[in-house]
Amino acid sequence: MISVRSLSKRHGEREILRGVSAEVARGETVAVVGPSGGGKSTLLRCLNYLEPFDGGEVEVAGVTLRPGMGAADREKLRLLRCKVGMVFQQFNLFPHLTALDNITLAPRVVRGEAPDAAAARAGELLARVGLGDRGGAYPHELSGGQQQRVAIARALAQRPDVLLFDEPTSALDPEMRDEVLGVMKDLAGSGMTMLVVTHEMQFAHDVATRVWVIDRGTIVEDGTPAQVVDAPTSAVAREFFARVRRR
Amino acid sequence: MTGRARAALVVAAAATVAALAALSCGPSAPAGGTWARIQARGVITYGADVQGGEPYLMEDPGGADRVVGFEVDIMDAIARRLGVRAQFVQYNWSNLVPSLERGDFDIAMNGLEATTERQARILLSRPYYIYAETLAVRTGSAYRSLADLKGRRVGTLNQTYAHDLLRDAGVEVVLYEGNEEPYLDLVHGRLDGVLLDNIIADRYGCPRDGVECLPDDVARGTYVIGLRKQDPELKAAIDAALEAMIADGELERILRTWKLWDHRQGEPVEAVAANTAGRARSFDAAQWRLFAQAAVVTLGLSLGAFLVAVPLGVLLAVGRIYGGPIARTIARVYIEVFRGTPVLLQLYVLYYGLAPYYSLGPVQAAILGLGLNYAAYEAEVYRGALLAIPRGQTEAAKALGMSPWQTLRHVLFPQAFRIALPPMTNDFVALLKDSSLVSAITVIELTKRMTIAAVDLRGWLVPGLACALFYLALSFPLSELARRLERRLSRDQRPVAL
Repeated sequence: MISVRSLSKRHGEREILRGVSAEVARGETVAVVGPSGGGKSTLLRCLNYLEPFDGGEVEVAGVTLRPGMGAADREKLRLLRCKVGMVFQQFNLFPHLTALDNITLAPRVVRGEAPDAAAARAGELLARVGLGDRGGAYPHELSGGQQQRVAIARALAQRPDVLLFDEPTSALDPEMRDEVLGVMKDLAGSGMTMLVVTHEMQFAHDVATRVWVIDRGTIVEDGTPAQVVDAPTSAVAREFFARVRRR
Repeated sequence: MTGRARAALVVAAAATVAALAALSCGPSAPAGGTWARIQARGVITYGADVQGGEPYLMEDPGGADRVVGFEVDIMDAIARRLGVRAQFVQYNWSNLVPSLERGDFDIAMNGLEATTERQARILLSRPYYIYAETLAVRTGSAYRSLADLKGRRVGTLNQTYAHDLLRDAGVEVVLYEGNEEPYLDLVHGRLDGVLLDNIIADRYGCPRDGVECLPDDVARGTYVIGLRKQDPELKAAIDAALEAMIADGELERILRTWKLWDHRQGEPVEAVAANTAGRARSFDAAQWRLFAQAAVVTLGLSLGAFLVAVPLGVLLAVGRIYGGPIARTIARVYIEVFRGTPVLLQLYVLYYGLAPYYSLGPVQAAILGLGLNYAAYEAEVYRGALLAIPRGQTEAAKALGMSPWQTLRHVLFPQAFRIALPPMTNDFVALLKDSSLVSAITVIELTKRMTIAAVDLRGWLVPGLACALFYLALSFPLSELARRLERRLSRDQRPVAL
């Protein structure tokens, strides 16, 4: 489903990703963990080309991405982004639209779905994330946890093959975290392919099928939660998990 | 309207009245004895307008810091005979009489025609020149008289005797402040005739390609010096000086020097020309109607200009933020040029500068000029609004597969609009008032209407108040509309109490 080959990206002198290579199969849930500034979010954002990169190649859901893609590749990027949904740390709901309209906007304008059909499906998705009765609410009328669940429904409305989560619970209270993590757990159980940048060790341990530890632009460990979380082999991973557990 | 809003309006109206009342009182005319004061000072001051130009009175083309002209020469001769020195004071021509009454200078001398209306208002000296009103048309035109021009556009200078004649002639009067512009507009087909004094026509109109001056004088009249009612001694002294200049031939010599001596000077003429039904005498229903028409012009111009400014402003803002290097440069240069130069200059360039290549009508030029200018301001308002939207909004839209245009249309513009609404309301109200500048290109809008009425009625207070009321009546409902819209759009952005 996802294939990353020698992916590299730099910001001026600073190398952010140094030749990352990895494969993700359909239905896998990968928890991406590691120290801050290690390149986790950048890697994730390269996968839907929200960040352009400088070297290597990425193949996601059958679409191949290369450095320097521009206006000429617009159709390719549109196709990619319909297949790859993204959920942000700050939710990024559109504040001028109701929850329902947030969800139906992209299906209507990008995929040309009929408004009625889009609204019906948005209703189902809202019910699925436990907000069946809040379709008419504006983002500011919803709690953080509710907003993030609407954001997940919005990403799902494009019928993606892959969902990318960029620290989806970092801006939330513990209580709200659980409701969002609950939705994500259900999604993982339904067979969705997911990449989740997170600091939630519980989630990484219990829900993820694989864990990547990323540090200084490379994947330093890649294995099952049992291997990576319970018995890390690298010094970086050991130190990281020890620090996270102390919290 | 809420109670508080109504109270605010009442306060604003009261403040306007007070300000206008203070203005209308001004410096009061000195009580009598102007002649005695002139003798004591050894200086007589005369009000005139250098825009009257050659040959009346103009800045010395030789570059010296002084004025020259046949009226300067006559004034110097009069002063010499009075045993004093003449000193020129610059004033806007159409306000010479009110300024004389205010006491800003001792006498007014600048092609002032003797009319019954002026005679009722101020003292007039004996004539020093006999002029004719000359009608100019386009070469080969079928119009041969003022009567032929009924219903057509005819240009003249504001508050001249020709202006009076035209008001009675049933033509559409187009008012100018300079001597060249009416003839330019005649050549470019924006006027069908120009009626002005022969001195102006002979110099600025008749020699021009495409202009034909009709041989018969439409009317004749005399130029006189204007004095305040309470200065008969001064009038007697000046009249005596003028009589002496005629008797010893100095006046003829001066007029010949300036090539102004003609057959008319020897012929009899009615000393004071009779006015005129067209001039307003009181602020009556007809004036209200004229003000209302002018208010419609002001509103129409402003709406039209805003309809140009908003889409162009959006285009410039988007070009400046998201465009390539070329689009960014074009947008920046446009904004700097239109924001950095006066609207008045831009209007002149559009209306007169462009005329040889493409002749815009005055209303078209006004809407386009104001629209192009305000687009520069709108562009910066929209740029600020677009930049105020968090980056995450654009990222979310991109991540959903939306194209740049879809992102702008569905995500960024709706959010930018509610940020831009207060400054846009501001700009529209400013535009309502800035639209008064288009009187420079002959459009009669609210402020121009007010200045015409103020001169006709000899007072600024009532026309000024009426003008203020109309402006408020235009801007207040718009502000109110914007306020409601803003409230509806910004449900989630109620300010936090401090």
